[in-house]
Amino acid sequence: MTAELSEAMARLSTSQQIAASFQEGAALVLAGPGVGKTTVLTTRAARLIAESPKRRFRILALTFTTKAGDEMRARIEHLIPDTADRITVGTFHSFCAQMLRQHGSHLGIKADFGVYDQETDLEDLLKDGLRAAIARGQTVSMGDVRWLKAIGQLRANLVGPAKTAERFRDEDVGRQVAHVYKIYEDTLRDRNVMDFNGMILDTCRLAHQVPEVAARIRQTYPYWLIDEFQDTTPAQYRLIKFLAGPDFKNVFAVADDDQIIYQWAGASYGQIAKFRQEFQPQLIQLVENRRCPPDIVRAANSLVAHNKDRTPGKEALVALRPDEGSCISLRIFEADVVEAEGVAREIVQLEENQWGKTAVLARTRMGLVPVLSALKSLKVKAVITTRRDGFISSQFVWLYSLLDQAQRPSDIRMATLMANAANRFAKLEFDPGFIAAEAEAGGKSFIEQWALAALESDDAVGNKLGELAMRLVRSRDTWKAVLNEAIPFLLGTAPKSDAGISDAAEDDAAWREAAKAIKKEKGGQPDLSELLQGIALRPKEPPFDPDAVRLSTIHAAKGLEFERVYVIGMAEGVLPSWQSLKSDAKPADLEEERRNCFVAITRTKRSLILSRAKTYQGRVREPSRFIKEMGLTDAP
Amino acid sequence: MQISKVRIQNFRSIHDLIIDFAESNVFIGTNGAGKSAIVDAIRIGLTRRWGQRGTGFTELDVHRPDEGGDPKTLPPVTIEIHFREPSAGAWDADMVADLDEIMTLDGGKNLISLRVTAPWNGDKESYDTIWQFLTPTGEPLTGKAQRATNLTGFFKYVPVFWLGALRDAADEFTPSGHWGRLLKNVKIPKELEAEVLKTLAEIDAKVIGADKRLSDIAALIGEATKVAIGEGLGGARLNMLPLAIEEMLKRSGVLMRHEDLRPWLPLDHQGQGLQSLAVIFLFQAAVLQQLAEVEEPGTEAVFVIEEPEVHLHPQAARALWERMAALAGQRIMTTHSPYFVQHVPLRDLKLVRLRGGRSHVSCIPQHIHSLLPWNDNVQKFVDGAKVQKIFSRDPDTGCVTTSEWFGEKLEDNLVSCFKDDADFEAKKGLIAELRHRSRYLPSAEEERELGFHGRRVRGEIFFARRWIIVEGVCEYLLLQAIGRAAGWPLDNHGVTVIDFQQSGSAAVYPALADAFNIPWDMILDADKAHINCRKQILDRGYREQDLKDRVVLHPKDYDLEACLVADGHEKLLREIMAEKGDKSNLNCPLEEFISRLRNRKTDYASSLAIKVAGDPELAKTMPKALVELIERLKKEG
Repeated sequence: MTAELSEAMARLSTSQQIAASFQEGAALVLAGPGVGKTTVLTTRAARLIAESPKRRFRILALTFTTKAGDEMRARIEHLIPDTADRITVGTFHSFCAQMLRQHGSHLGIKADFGVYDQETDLEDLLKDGLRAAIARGQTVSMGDVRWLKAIGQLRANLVGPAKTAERFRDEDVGRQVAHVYKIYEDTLRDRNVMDFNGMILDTCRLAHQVPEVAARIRQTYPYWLIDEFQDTTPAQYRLIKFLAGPDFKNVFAVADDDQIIYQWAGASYGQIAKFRQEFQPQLIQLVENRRCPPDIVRAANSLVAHNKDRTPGKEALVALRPDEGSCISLRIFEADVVEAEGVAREIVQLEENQWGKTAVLARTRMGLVPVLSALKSLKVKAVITTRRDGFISSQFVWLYSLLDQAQRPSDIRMATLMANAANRFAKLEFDPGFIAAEAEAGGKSFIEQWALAALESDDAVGNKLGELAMRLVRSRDTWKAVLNEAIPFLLGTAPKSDAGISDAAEDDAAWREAAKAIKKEKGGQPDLSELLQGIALRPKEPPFDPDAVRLSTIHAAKGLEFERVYVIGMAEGVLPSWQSLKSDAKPADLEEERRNCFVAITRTKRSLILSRAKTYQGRVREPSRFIKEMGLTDAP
Repeated sequence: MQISKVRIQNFRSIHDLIIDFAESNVFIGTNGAGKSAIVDAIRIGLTRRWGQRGTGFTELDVHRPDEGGDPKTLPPVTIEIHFREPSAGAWDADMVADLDEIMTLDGGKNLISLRVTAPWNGDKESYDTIWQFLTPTGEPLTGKAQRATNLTGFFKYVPVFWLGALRDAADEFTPSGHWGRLLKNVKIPKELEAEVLKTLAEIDAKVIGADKRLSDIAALIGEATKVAIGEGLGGARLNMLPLAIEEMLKRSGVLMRHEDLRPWLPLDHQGQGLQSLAVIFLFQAAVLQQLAEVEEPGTEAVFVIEEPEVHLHPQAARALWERMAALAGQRIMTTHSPYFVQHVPLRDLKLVRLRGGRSHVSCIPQHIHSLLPWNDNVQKFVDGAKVQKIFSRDPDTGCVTTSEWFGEKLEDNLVSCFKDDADFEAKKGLIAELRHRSRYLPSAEEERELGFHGRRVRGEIFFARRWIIVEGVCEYLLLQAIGRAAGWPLDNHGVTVIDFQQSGSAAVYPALADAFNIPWDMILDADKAHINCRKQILDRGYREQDLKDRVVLHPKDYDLEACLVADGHEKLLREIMAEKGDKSNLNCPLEEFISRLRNRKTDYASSLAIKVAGDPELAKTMPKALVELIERLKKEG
């Protein structure tokens, strides 16, 4: 055992130690905010490896986001260096992608499939599939593209085309959707691409049809760790169950039923209940909060006690920090605009070095926009954290699709994307369909045809792009050199936005961030396919400016902590949201709102400022019931 | 983990070859048939060094279908090596976990497939060597399976130990050879080391002190340190014995003697044969020690040994097989030696031949697979009868497989297992076809018999291009003689005559010949015994059309002797027999004489053969079956 690991073990609290020393069997670790659940996960994983130096089995750690995975990987690496081979940390999707690349051939899936993460890509794909089906004389129409959302839902619920029809009350509709779904899936296979829902679905299919794959996973990974278990979707839970089979129990799930805020995405208390029923886990509660002042812990406990969907016997958080008295304040403003300005004015008073340690949290992104402009007008650096699934500049869309084309020339969608992106920032007017036809007639690849055209064009940027592409055509091995030369050139072609930073520069920062994480995950330089696969699975937002005030939705703030936290919009109809107050809303919806509030306030390390306006968008809003439930009075 | 299958394409004399591998594999064949290409392909595939420091593929490695063709544009050398788990769960779990990224699943069993390709790289003006792990369908695996470190991790589990045909004891028994590797790991206890060095120093001093001239020389040389500028007093001393244990170990050598009474001699004073043998044993010792150091469970060595029999006399070559068979791991050997082959189980043999400029490999398969579903009746039949070894259920397909040929009776039994099936006739057809296809699988009993009776012929027949199967030694001698008389000596044309009465049963040789793709002809006496022989062959699964034009009988109901007499050689034969010492042979009754001939076959046949060999006219009058066969073969070339 390394010195780092021994030290980490020694620093654990009693309950953390029980969890980190847990050996065989299922465990449900209920971990409230700020109790050090990542520490428990990383020390347990590291300990299992360190205690079996002669063995080669691996640990499987599934996280909710790539970012959480990257962090967990780094922390384990710090505890036990050079053992990365024995730990697979990833999201459900990245783990499924790995399984499908390795074993997907049993389902007719190729090892080098691409991933479509944009709804528009999938829509175009279905349109192409429908077009071809119509040409073959099948009874579908282009209007059937409207079923794409339904198909997405079916896939998210692990329903394949064969079982689709029975899901619909109207038989004819059901049959038609099943037909369109089949076309959609066949087109995915033809294009050698995968959508996000399909990764979970196909891995379930794989585990079902080739039980040896699941057996291999159980043998190779005798210990599974699942972070943020409360956020798993029913499909992800079923995947776990499929892979585990009837006898495998070594699932170590860390969850907080008070932090379920992804109900709309399928997360629900039901998964925790199901896990308890099907795996009979030992219950371990981590309650020692090291993050928040006691005042906030009291408020959080008091608030969440109003929820019913909680694990029976759930213990309240215990504050470990010394009691420094009150650290929660409430601001009341006349209107939402005033609230935004008021909060901004308060922040501008702070020392500049405090900006990066300050967060403004709101239930929705919309609530943040006025705060951002108010801060900007006061010259306070601030950013709204958002998740981007795709690159926003034409330059990087072109670069990514070019490299992807070099790797998987059969994906005509990527080819189209590449040509269209270049048309936007170079003075080119190439019709992708025409280039594809020409390429086919001449027995050339799409890139080669496109590159020849670009080289012959009158545009200097186009010429350069053509030259870069041509080098890749001649030898794919040149991709690193092409990439290194392309990025500075592409940045030079990008116009700067009002903020002084171009979209391309933001993409560039995101690209670098992703490339760094991919390199770290692999433990060495990735090759082209690894880089592309890694980027496809990672978010494309640039890293945050550490000196800027963070404006964030509560969802995006989950797992983060700040010295000073503003929670705005503490009003009925805002937090809790108006949807949860509608007469037909379920009690569970309000409970989710309460958990949102719980998550928001427990981000705080030092002081919490709650604010509300009397009117939002001109409508009078009562103070949020949560203020009272926290044990506070509605007075400034 | 062991190699289960190798596919080699466009490599030297190999166009496209798929070879199934067993634990033990002995490639036999003539020079240039392609044995070394197969062995090299495996070494290259499983050794990282290929492609580094000036090694790698060259233009000469690319298979050319004809003299033309540019090796830069011809299809690239491609080598695929597959490791398939023999039964689910057979591989060590830690090894499986360690190699997870590169290991797929095929039919419920773990599989590692590795492909090495060598495309021409125009920019670098050389061939690239590319290693890729594959999916069960042969596509390259992506992602983590592409890391370069995977190869090193993988090779560790299948270390290849290669011993080439050219073995020079002077090279191997050196610090850089196997010897040095062996010595590196020798551990001498510290106390012993100190004691030895002390003793050595004392002896050293004694020897140097024995003659004053030695210490004078030392003193004189020591003057040098006074000339050179140095701090403190220098000096020189003589040293005759090693100063350190490592040095002593390096000096160690091997002394050998053949027999108790012969003197001990250093290895390089021994004959080539003993040197070669010593290298093999050294190799084994070095390998065993290396493997003992391996920590990873699941590691299995691959031994690649070329021509282990070089320079050895027949008995030694035969005895060597047992040594080789005892090596723990997968064994891949090549050989030219009929003696070495004699003890090798038939199923381990892989015959390599060059046909039309391309290498071909043939061998007896372990099993013959069918499309016949295994059912409860078959299970009952197999449980009840003593045929478990012959029929088994293929775990991959759930169908019946055979490991030995089976006769008509077993066929009937098997057929009755499907009597209730709706497509009974189709099943019956499948069974008949399975029996026919299984005909060349030798039974365990035949293996034993061949080992005993057939040892004489076993080795060399596999080096023949064609077999003539005859009843006894007379036909053997006469065929050789007729060939010589016709100016077409059988040996020169790779034709081997096998007399099955001495060497096993009639049916096994056609079966072996077909298994190894060796063309064959058979000449039988036309007496009652031939009916029996024919029956044996047919019962084995042969069909009448298989035997057409291949099995020839003497006319009427003649055996060879009757045939010779009928062909007008009575007088000649009586003279030959009389010369042997019994004059009564000149005039005893014909019946009596023929009977005497039959009792003294070797006597008359050897003398007759000498006369036939020297007299082409006489040769033409020998029994038609023999003469026509030789003429046909000569015409066919």
